[in-house]
Amino acid sequence: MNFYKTFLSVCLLSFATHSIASSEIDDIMSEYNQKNRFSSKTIDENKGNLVLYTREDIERMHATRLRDIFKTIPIVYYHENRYALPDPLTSGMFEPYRSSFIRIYIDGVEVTQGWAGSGLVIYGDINIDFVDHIEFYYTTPSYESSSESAYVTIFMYSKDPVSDGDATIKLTQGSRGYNEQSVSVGDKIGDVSYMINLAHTDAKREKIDNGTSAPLSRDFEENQLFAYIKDDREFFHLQIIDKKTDSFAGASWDATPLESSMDYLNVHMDYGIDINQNFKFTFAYDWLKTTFDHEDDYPLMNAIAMGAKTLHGYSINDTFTAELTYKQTFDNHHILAGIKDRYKHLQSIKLDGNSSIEPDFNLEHIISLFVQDQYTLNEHHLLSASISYNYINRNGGVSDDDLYHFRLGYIYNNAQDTFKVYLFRTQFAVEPTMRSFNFGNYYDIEPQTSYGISAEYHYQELYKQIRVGAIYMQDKDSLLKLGLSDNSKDTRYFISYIDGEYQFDTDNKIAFRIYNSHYKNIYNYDSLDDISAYLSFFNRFGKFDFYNGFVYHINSLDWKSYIDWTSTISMDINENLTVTLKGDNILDRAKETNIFRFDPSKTPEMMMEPLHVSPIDRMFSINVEYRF
Amino acid sequence: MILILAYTQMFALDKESTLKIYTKILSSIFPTKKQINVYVPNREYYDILKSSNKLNVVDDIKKASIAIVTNLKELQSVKKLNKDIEIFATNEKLLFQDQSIVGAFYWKKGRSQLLFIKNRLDRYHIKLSDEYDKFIIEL
Repeated sequence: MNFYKTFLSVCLLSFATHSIASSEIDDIMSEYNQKNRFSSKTIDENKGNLVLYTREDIERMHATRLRDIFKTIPIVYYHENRYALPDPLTSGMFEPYRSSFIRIYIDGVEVTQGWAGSGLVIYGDINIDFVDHIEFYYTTPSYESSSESAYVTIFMYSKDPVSDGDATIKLTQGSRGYNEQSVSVGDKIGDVSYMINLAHTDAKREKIDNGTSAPLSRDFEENQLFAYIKDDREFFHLQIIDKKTDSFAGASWDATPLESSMDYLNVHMDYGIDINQNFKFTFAYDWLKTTFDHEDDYPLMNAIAMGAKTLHGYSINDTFTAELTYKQTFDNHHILAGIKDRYKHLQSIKLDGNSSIEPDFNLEHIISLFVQDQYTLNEHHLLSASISYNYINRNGGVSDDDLYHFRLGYIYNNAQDTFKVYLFRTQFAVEPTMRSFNFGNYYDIEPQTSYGISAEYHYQELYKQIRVGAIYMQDKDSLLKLGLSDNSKDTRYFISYIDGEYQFDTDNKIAFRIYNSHYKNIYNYDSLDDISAYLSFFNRFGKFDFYNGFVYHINSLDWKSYIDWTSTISMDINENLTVTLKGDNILDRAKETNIFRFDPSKTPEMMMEPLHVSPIDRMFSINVEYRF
Repeated sequence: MILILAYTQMFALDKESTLKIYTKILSSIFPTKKQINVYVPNREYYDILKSSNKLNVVDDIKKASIAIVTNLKELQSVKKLNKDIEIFATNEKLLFQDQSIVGAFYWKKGRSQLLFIKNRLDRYHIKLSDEYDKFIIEL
């Protein structure tokens, strides 16, 4: 297929739909949409540099999994590691998990996976049928929302039963037998709101040829429950994910496993209460059981296999987090202070045959103190200053860490313009998975210290907006090196971006993003340039809704262009029934990750040609949505 | 303005844009009236619409030209008090359930939707301007 002809056709089709100028009622409805959508109530300008997906965006993109959104965000793209886990920061080498510094929150509460750190490892590709909107913030956000050091913080907010009171059933059938079903119910009775969402996914994914008669599989079957109950003062969330996965290359050095599967059973629950106008308390509990089955004809790479060719068993870890925050306004000072206590525990690792591994290092205890002052100079100018301290205590003879963070910010804001600049220092400690499950056994690693500055200007009118910005960051003792203890040179980042949106009327809009990143001393590269872009068209003709999205990537490793085209055509059969046809990665040219391989049969071991794997499958699907 | 909002405030309507859209819709339904008497049983909408210069929120339904309802309970109560009054809804389901509702402005799939039913507009001799053509359907 000629990409340029296709692209031109989509552009012409898109522009042809909005020849009629918007009327006064269109203008008023657009203004109402902007000011009343749920996201307009959760966005805090002081959180940082935002990429937002509104409910309308998610609906019109027909995004069913977080991956559908994540693949379009810039800089930190959606990638999967050799275990087929969401791991955007993976180097493609043999580390167990890299992306601990991408944090994930649901309705303001962090979801963690204890030993891996971030909940991204499980939640990075969940079914998002329960989600209203998603906010991605770059660099350290405001303590109003998160006190964890992060490269990217993802906030997902669940649907509101007041505007989503109907029950909904969604059924999807796709290529290779891929199928997905979800059902949602919610309501508000008196002051109490509730929502229950159940989703089942049987993901038949593309197989990857590894040179053997048994190609690598990433298929998974997942059952997911999301539920909450809340009123104006209290909330309780319960999330359960049961995911059975083929774990791709797994623990095989040359990516030719005889067996490779991992099953995850995860429970997250949290409770929050506004004790009074000033104090808020939140408690969260995360529990994860991982069952693993690995087998190869050479010793496995996994550190706990200790040279064995088979590894069957399970591990359990859990995390308790309690947080108390205090808010008060004195004159023009909006003060926020808080204390957080997090306790991570790796229970023993049980192996088949009733043996077990009892690691010396199985506890991590983190105490965090933070305070932030937002000082309003007048209605247009705001200064903010934040400081926090983390003390991380570990057992098993692993060194403790003291981490200090600060952020200074200035925001100018009026009806149309926003300018913000932040200066920050952040420290990152390696999460336990990288310390204890890595084949290098990195027990004592210096925390990474990052200094940075970011600036952004945003101009917005009713039907158009444009944003330009730049971020500079420098890491001392960078953890984005192949060897975690390689502190020879600082890692440097210079990122610039421009994005914009033009809405022709309530039904038709075009949006774009262009990012340019330049890195020094990252992983094992002296220098790396990376350019990405996302162009999207949203159109509506009568009962038909169209979405076309193009994600473009190119980098200096090989200057190869990657294009991921997603297209949907949706038809409202009646007010309750919608049918959608969707194509993902239609051109089969989405961005790929190198999965590196060693040949263990050679002495010394030799590097093999890496596998080039895209985390985005080419798939065509039909979706039926019924509301009742 | 900088948004620093507590979790409990998340679901409130934006006053200015809500007032603007209802003033526009009701003025289009009653283009010749300088003041439109509206009966609004819902507290949140009542508080917002009562600040309008064009709309006159009344407590006595008999003085009202139109009622705005947000749920089934309010609809039943309004019809009990005045079975002939024109009704506008903020809920899609009510619009398709009840023949006495001429139109609705509601939230669906993350954006606002406006819909009028043609034969019901005709029944009340309501003639909307051309800009509403795409919001009128026949059942």
